[in-house]
Amino acid sequence: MLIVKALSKRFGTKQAIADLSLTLEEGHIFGLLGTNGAGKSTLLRVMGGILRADTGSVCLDEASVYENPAAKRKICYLSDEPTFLGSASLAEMGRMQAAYYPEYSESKLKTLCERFALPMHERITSFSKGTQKRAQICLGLALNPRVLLCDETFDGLDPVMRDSFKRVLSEETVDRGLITVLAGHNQQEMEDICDSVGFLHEGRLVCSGDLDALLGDVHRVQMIPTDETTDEVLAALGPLRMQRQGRLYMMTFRGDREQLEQKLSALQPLFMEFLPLSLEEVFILEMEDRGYAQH
Amino acid sequence: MRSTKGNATRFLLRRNLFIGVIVFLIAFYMMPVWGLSHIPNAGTLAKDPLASEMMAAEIAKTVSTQVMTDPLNLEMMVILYGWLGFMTAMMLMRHLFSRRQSMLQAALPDRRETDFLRRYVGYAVLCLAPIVINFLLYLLVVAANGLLSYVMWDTLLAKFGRLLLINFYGFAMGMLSSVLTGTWWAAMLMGAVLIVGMEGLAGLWYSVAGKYLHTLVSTSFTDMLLRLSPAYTLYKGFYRPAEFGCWPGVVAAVLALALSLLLYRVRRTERAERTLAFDGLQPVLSVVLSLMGGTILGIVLLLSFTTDISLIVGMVLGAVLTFWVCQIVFAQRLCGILRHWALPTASAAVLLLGWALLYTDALGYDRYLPARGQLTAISYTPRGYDTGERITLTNKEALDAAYDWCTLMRDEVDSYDSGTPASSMYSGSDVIVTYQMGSRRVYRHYPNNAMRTEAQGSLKCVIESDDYRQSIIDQYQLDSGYVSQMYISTVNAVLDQDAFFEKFNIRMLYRSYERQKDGVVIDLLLEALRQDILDRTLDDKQEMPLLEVDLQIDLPDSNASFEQVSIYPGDEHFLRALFGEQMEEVVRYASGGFADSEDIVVLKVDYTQSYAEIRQFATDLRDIVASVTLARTQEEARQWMAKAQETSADQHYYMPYREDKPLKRLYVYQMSMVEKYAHFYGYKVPQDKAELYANPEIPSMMTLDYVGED
Repeated sequence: MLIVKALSKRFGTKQAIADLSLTLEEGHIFGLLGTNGAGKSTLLRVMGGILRADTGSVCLDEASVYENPAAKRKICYLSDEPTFLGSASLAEMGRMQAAYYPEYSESKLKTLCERFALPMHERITSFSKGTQKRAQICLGLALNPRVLLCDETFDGLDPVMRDSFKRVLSEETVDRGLITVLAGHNQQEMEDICDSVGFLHEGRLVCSGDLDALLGDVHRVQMIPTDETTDEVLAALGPLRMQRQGRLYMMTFRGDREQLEQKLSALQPLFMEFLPLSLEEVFILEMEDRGYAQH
Repeated sequence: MRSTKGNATRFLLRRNLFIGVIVFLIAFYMMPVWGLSHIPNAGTLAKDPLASEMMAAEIAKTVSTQVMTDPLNLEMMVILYGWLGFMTAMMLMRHLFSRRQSMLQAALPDRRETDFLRRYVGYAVLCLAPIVINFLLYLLVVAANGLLSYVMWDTLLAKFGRLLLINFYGFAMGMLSSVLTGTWWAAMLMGAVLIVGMEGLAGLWYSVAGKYLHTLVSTSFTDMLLRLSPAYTLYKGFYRPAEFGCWPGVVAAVLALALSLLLYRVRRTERAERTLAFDGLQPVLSVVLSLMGGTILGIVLLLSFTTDISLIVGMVLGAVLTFWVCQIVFAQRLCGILRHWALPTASAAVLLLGWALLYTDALGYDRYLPARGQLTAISYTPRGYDTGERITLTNKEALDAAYDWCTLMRDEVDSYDSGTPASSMYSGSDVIVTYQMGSRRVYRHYPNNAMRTEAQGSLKCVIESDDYRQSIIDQYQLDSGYVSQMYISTVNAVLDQDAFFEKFNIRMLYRSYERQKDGVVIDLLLEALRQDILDRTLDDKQEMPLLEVDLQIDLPDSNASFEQVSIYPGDEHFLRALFGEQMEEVVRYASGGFADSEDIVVLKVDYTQSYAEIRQFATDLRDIVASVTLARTQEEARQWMAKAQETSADQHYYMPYREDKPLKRLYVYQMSMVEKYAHFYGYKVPQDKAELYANPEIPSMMTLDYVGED
């Protein structure tokens, strides 16, 4: 279990992470969504023991991660900018990993490289950006980590590769109980693969939890109320959003769906329909609620 | 499972193997290649059955020391090996200069201290080991040529050890510089500041102090540097290991490594690509650099405009501008620099305070004179025209006389106006005095100018003291038997070397102990010289020397040194030993009798200005002629010549001060030569000999200052 407790990190005057706590369990994929500069990369780097937290802690199985080789051997951080040793090939990077990670499997790297059509002995820096991403993921998976921290890892991959990697990731998560954190902006991808998600804004985790629960907590309703039902009556129900197009109202609510349905039915609308919400829409709602990019 | 740590170290070594290859190639050129090109020649010499002891010593020197000094010149060897260590450190720590590589490194499951030690091992394998291997290869070359028995192991190993130490010091400074900074250029700049920054600042201030403190001694600053500066002791100690300990270098290197380790452990990963890795460094470094910048600009403006105000303006401007430039460099952006005023103002204020202290000599540096009771000895070394004496006086009478002389010199300095450039006070008669009070020594550099006339009594007592005479005898090794060669020559223009020795039938000017019969002559002449030195008076020394004797002294365990000894007309023992019965004739001839010839014409030219005025205003002598007098008789010419001195002799530290008196000069013409060159140079020889001086194209045979009364 990876536990992040009351974590704070500051860069000069900028508060990158503020009092953030989070618990991640084995066999789960956690999606970390956030606006630009929300602190996703910083959080992942602190979780990977790369950056030192100002306050708080990151513990894997109750052992602090920072400056703890035993814990760090179980963690793999895949940076948003794939970084390799200068002029190294995948084989040489593999040798480096073998020197530091006891769980590293060269055969696994070879298998992955064959599967994803990567040459083992060519300079990685000569690869295209997408191929470098593939190489980075293969190297990361070959470490057989217990925690995989992916920072916008699937960005730049073509849809076929993205799908393949997602499948590999799912297999690893299920088979080995891998804890995976996926940070990025692609909500659709998160929705497809993640078990739970968290929204990060200005260094704070504003909302997190099981994906189904998160999606089930926010509802969009399309309805045509009676003439007697005024805007004030509808507003009294506490919608997060309310838009009107002619007689048709589009409203978004947070809370229990059954109770909401009862309240709205009590108004005897002429037409009422519950529409599904995507994760992206929930994310936008959450961010707008916190004053991000409101117009 | 294989050892992870072992693998990681091996991986680091393999990744950085190119460093080892470069170091190996450089050291290979410096040692085995140099050996291959030089040792065989020495081997050939060694096989020569007639090889002398001296040749054996030369071979031993070739195989034992020259490999450490010859391949490049000495300074370059020191710098190169230090630089190799420094660059190895920077290359091994290069991940600190790239944000991405820094992250990659920090993600690895490795403790910082383990990682640090791994890089230290990297240095030992990739830098030290190639140097040591090449040293062994060099020894192989020596052995292959059968010269191993010539190797002076203690000398060779001491020099090689120093070389390794210099390399290690460079590495330690490179590690510290890399950890403190986040970019390549910042690390190099930091290295320069760490290695020579304080010494540089001290040196700059020494040059400023030299302008205002008239008695400041350059050697005392060098001595201080030698004692305290790790870089300087390592640099100097490489070729003079017996004189300079290596402890400052060792201590500094170990401290730098320890500090690097401590800082590396707490260094934040995100500091890569930032100029400085620690926030607290910024103000400290800004102030240090602004102090240096202010001093440099001040000195540059002073050299350009030569006024105190230019120095002040330069210091203030330099301090403030350098501080702001530092802010731009450290923050890597332009805006906001003008918000910083307090620290640059403080830096400028410190510089101005330093200047004011020097200008007013607020600490009484120039006025200092130890109490007579504290003194156990006074030593002095002339710095102007007499550079050959190193005198130490300890007995009461001599010490009292020297103290009186020093008091006069101190008072003279005290009479100078504040801000008078010290350098303008030195006219060639200056001396460096060392006051010894028990184990404590204080050095002062006195111009020793106008007060010399007043000090004649004290100087006479000093120069005629037993201490002075014994110091001279010790310096020339006249009692020790270490003089191995001597060469006798006439001094400057007074006497033509060949003509003079031919005239008095002296054949052998060069004597060496290597020739058996010369040994007896050398011993005889040295004993005579010793006797003369014991008898010499101040009056003797104030006459124009006849001869100069060059002595080569071969002290045991030391390189040969050379001394020049003047022989005066009063040095009867030496002159008699050299010239025998002709001695009186020689002295008469050399001290004026030379002019007792129809072929010689002597003119005395009186000028309207003193030598001091001439020097001050750079006057052309021909513009200030008061009178030209022709020696009416050969006897008068001889008398004038007897009261003449070389033109620079007036500035010997023991001569009376004459620079304030109108200059009088003798121009000696050899008529046969004047007539011989008349056609060649196209001048006409005047009938009236007094007009010879009027034509500057007519060459005089010699020019001497006339110091006698009219």
